[in-house]
Amino acid sequence: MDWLTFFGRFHVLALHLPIGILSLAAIAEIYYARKSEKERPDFLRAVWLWGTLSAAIAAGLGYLLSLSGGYDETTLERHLITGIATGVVGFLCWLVFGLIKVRRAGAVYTLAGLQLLLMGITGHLGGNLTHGPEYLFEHAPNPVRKLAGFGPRRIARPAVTDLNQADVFLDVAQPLLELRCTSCHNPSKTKGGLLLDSYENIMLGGDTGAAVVPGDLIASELSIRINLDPEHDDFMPSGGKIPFTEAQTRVMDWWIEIGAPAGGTIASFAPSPEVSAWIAAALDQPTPAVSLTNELGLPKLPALSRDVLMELESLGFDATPISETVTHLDIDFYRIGSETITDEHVQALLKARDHIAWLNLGNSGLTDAQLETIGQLPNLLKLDVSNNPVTDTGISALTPLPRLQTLNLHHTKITDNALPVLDQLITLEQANVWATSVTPGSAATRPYAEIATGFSVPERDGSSK
Amino acid sequence: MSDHSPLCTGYEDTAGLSRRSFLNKLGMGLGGLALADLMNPVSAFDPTALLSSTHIAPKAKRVIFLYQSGGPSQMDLFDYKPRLNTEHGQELPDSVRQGQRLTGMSTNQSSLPLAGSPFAFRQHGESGAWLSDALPYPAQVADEICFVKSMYTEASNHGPGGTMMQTGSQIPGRPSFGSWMSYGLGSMNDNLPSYVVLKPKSGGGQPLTSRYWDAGFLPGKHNGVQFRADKDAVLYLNNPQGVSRRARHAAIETLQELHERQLAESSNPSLENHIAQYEMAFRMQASVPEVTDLSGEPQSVLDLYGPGATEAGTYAANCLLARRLAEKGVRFIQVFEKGWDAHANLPNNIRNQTRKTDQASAALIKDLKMRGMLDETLVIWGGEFGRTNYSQGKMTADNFGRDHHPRCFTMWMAGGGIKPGTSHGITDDYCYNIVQDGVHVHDLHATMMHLMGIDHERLTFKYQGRHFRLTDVHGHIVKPILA
Repeated sequence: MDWLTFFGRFHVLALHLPIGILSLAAIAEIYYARKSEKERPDFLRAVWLWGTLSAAIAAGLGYLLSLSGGYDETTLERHLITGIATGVVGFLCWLVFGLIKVRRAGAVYTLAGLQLLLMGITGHLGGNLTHGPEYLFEHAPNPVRKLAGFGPRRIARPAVTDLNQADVFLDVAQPLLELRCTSCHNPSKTKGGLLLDSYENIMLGGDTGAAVVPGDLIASELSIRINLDPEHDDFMPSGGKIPFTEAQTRVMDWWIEIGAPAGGTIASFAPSPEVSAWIAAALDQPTPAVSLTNELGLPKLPALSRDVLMELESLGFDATPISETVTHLDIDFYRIGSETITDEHVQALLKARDHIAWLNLGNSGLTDAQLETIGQLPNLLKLDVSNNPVTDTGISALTPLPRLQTLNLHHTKITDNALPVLDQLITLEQANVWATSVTPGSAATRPYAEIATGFSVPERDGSSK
Repeated sequence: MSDHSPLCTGYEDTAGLSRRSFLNKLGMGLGGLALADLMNPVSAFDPTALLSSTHIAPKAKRVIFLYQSGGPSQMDLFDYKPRLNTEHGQELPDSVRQGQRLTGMSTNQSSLPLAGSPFAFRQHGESGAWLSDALPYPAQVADEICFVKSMYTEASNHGPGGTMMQTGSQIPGRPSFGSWMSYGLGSMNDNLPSYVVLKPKSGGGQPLTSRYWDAGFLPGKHNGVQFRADKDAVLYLNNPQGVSRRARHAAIETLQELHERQLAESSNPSLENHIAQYEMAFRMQASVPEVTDLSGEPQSVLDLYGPGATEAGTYAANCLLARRLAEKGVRFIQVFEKGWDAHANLPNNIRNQTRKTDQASAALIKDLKMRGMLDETLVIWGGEFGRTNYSQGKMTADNFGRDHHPRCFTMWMAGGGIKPGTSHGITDDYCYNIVQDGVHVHDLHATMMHLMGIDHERLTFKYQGRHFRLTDVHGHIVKPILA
């Protein structure tokens, strides 16, 4: 199959031979039609034959190329028929003008003219196959475009550099429709009575009904059709044309779900990280730079300055950005012997205030007073303050934390009174309160609270022989 | 993945700009910083680490690898094969063996009789994991564990097999996985090594040699550091008699001054290693006695790990120590256990080995879970290969042995990003070949690194003109076992 494609691609080279040779033959034949028999060079017969042979070769290679797929089927079929017809007419010309030596001007004009016409159509269809139907008239003046059945030229959108600022219709929905839909749903074809070439026409719908009902996927025929099984009769695009990718389908659905707006920045519709990733994928944009939040669900931040990182390191923290794409920090603190964390340490953390997402201060000697500083870290997701002499008072300083998910409190001095405080942390998913004064009964009333019960040590049973 | 940073390389490629001198450049202000930045775009903040951050957000911050040297018998512990019991004593069918090579120890046997497991199997936990009755303690934590029953390797002997598991190559000389982690991620706690090795104090079995935790061609500071079951946990760490800690400190400072004078003349990475090791050793004089002192552990915890927990060098004590090291921020902790090489007397061997190890293995999981650490700690249990389904040597009514079998074996993992309460991969009814979802040792390594946030294809070291990596040119992340 690779060999076939390899040879097939020589079609785009070989096709220029029949165009040149047959044009020459046809024009020369027309030129000599009114001249005397003697003036017409015999050489023309050979030219017709060469042209016909080269047309046959180009057609053969073209067929090989078509096997590699991906072409619009209707256009391909027409190109094939007209291409073969070009060769056949060339052969007829060789027969009629070269062998039978028919010299009647009417016959010459008809046959040679037909030859030129067929070649022109074949060439145009071939161009449409490679470059798309819009290519030829893309930069044509508007009157010419109108004549050719295209709408007025749009001012080209600048390439999207920042997805957050990209327009949901002009930069997202419309380019996708133009990519896969408007080759049939345009004013020159209007398949199914549906035009998808402008916002107004999209909203008008087609023969089956509304293509897009803002905010209602189930009523939107467009969404239904692109989400069908590709084998289904109603699937769009039909006729085996290249369908939307999964990301593109999801993005079209998202645009309908947010109310099919005619404009507005992506950011103003606050897509979830998942949707942001789809948009990026659908528009072939690199994913990391686009969404407003990173993979941990935290607002994106520029990397923390090296100076601050170095300062944290020199104080004895292990501070590392969480990944290449997450600039938030994972910070650990380990001490030797009787060293404890100091106020200077804790204050230094404020310099990385927005960046700290994971913080492990277990067994650091952290005090209640120092917890107040910890309560000022808005992007904290995981906090470990286990093995520290902190009490319910200290814990109450954590209530401003808007995103805290995991809190490790084992071997601290907290009691049942800490639980109402923890209740205020609505994002809290997990709080380890093992080896504290929290009673199992109270913990059991909290979905997030975990008291480990792993200390039963059963005897080895004798069942192994 | 078009935004790859340049491939990581060793210090060979840092154009004479070593990490320490990079740090010193910070003192020269922002101009120096920007220059250094241009010259070495992968420079890290953590002077001990190569990567300035992990490639992806890590699921596990540390690994505890419970290495079971000798090759534990998968069909007597995890991989329930009743067919071996119904066909007990019959010949291993050729259709199963398919002409595969055997080790030199059983290849000349005239008969290869199938041996059913003498241990009964039961399902445990909500996940319904099948475990043999030889493992009553792991049965209690079955819902935390993912059993990978389709591990395989090429090596059929201990040296190559162990070296493969530890370094990703059967041929000695490559860096061990702990060294790769240390090289890539550095240390979380500058007072302790980032790769610590705990060996059993006694017991026979296959030798555990230092190539298993060697840094190979990586800088020497990434060697695994062995903590011994002795009053000197780390050899040559303590001050010589008559030398005070203060004097020692002064000596190291002076030595460092001399070293830095030398560094100013020529950047020499091995000199940097020396300085790092001296500094580390000095800090370890304080940190190691603290971390190895179990006296603060409550009796309830000691009971959890079992009878040997207070006896230094037992598997139980090593597991407990592993947890303490994990709490102190050691990145990679490897506990070695010996004695699974049951060529003969397999039933007794399994009983003895499980009695030595299964309570502490399970205790480690429980202990980490209670402390809220299991989520961030990847625990791995397994040996270099499995054992044969046929008896090596003569089979009697209640005794037989099993030879080495690399074509399938079981390992288990728990915690740090692993889907709990699952089983991955299927072996055939004879426990000989893998039927579905085989996991090669390279795949295990790729998955481990993935969970630690490292793209295994991007952590490399240039040596002898080639960019080496732990997984060589192999390794696929085993996605179905990820949480």
